[in-house]
Amino acid sequence: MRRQCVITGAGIVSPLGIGLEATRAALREGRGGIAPIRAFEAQGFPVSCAGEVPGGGLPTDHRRQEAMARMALAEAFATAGLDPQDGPADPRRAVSFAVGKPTLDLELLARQRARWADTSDPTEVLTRLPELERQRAAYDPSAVLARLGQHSRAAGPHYASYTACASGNDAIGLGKRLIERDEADLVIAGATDAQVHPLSLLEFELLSALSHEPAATACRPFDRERTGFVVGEGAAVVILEEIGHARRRGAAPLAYLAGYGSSLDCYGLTKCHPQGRGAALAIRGALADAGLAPADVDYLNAHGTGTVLNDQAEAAAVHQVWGGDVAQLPVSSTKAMTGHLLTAASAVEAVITLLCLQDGLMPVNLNYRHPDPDCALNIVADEPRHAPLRVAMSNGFGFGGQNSSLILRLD
Amino acid sequence: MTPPACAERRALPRRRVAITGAGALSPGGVGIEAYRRWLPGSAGERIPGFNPAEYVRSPKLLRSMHRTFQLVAAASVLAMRAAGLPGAEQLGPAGITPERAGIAAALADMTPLTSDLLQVLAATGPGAAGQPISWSQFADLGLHKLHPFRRLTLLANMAAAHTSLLFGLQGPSFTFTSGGAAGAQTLAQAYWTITHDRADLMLCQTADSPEQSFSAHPAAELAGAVVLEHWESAQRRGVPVIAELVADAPGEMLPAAVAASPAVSLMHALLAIETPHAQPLRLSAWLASEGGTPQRRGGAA
Repeated sequence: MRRQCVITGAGIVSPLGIGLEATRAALREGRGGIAPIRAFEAQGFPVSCAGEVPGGGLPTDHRRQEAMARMALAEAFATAGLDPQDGPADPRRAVSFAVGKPTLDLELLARQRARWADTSDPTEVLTRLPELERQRAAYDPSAVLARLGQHSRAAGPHYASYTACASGNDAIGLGKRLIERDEADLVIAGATDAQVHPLSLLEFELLSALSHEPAATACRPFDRERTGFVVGEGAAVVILEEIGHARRRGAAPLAYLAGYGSSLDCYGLTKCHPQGRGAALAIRGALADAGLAPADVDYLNAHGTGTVLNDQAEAAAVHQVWGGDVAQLPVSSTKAMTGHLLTAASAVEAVITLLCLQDGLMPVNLNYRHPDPDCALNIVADEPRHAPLRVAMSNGFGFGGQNSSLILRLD
Repeated sequence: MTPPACAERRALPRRRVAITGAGALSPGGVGIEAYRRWLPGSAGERIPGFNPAEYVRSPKLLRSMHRTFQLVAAASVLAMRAAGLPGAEQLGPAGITPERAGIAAALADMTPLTSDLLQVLAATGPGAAGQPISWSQFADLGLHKLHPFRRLTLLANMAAAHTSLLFGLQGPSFTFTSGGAAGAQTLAQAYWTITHDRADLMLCQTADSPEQSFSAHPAAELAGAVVLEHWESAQRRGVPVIAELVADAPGEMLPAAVAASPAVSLMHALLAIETPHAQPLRLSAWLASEGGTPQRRGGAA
């Protein structure tokens, strides 16, 4: 009998709001969080909108993603009925987390230009600007992970993983494996990313991946007129526990983390396999892991970035797996509401999927107006749908052909 | 800490795992013995005479790989050659299903501080004396001066993407960025992926390159790879087994000590499989085996 992994706590920070209740309200109302950029003066910048976390109080620099992760972590522990600071360091408590690429302090470089302007050798620049190197070292993913673990009294293994936009699912899936193979009884799993930053946005612009439409309709997953994605930011944390561990302390599971699948496209570096070969493999892997058939899945939270090829490949993968039953599967992408949270995307969507199960809610795929024959899916259009849900899947795919799928089951 | 024994643990499937290939490059040259001879080396040293075209035949693929990824690919080619699987076309005849062959990589976060970015920033105004940077000017210059695929060259998981293309691997994929623990984590994760029947082959890989390091004192250049394979698969295709890898309990913990970088911790493990082993290697003992201190192994500590 395999050790079973359940979710006993969850926390979320996203463009839909801070916390589970704010997120829940936005999903219910079909309200998106994409808006004109506030993080920097974007007048004349080629990208004009993003999904930013509302409200103030968060640092606006390289410390932002850790701050968001800590907020999500606090909420996850609270919903799990635990105090992260309670008790001694626990060797059976592990961390599996994906931290986004730390943003470069361009302001510091610009302010100190006189100290390095005569060279373009990065090593020489760092020799002259040791404060930049110290800052980077302090916010390296492994350093952030160590602090999250220390804050949570986790003395078990600390896994920092990075699989591009599949990272969140992979971090959570790895947490499931740690519990199944008895390496931990409780895992703090999730992801964080804050890339609403001039350099990051420019890098995606160079890849021709971004939408340039007005904020309200910028991201249109699966719509025939879709033009690209919108960068967002956020963090999500789930508390994973071995079911017996949760029961012994009287914690009620929010859901079972029933299945996880991972695969490689082995096709290209920027383009996904057009028939969704790798995506289908990850989906099938998650179903096999969960011991479920495709028809058992009540709702799919799609990766659905809003780029032409990505949505087409995901739709092809769903067709491959569901075959003649594909019309029975309600599908929506919440990226039209949140933007693409990159490293954090699938972790945030896993928590959204958890809320969907709890509330019997299928969020609307915003901005879906023109059905695309290449993405012929049962899209949740116009407004959210309400129905009892028992099993839901969430996909996360990334550059380099990295694919991951999670399955959550209510009971 | 060793977890207590329990019935659940004993009931888990325990497929046997063989080490069937290994490869290494270091400032001492090609191979594990060259790496051992090089120890103790100096920080910042590079691999002499490294020619990536010797390992990656596709000029197009090679152009998309910066030096760290070229090094990962080279070590992986050495390991897969040793395992008798030098290319994607060998998987099928060897009876290995591509969907059951995956990758576990250990890498440091890639530095975004590149010379082309510095040139763009130097030309962007004003930014000095507390004035705000002109982001529109930064974008205008950046769109012309920065490499279109810049973002992709900075993603740690691209090492796995390149390698999957070289060998046709479509199975589970993990990239760990947990600093010095990452190398050991790839080996452990790959081991459990095979024992729990989620893959038949896992290629573990790593590299450190001064060029992609965010440091004024970069570590030495190192690259290593190990092929772990389901025992029956190795037996069926008759490949020499370097050692069997075993673990006493599914929850066997990784060693608490970490090395100086992702590459060092995997290279550390390579030293222990230099010669064929008559006795199985225990996972925890392997990952904690003596290969020298981080200082001896590249001076990056």
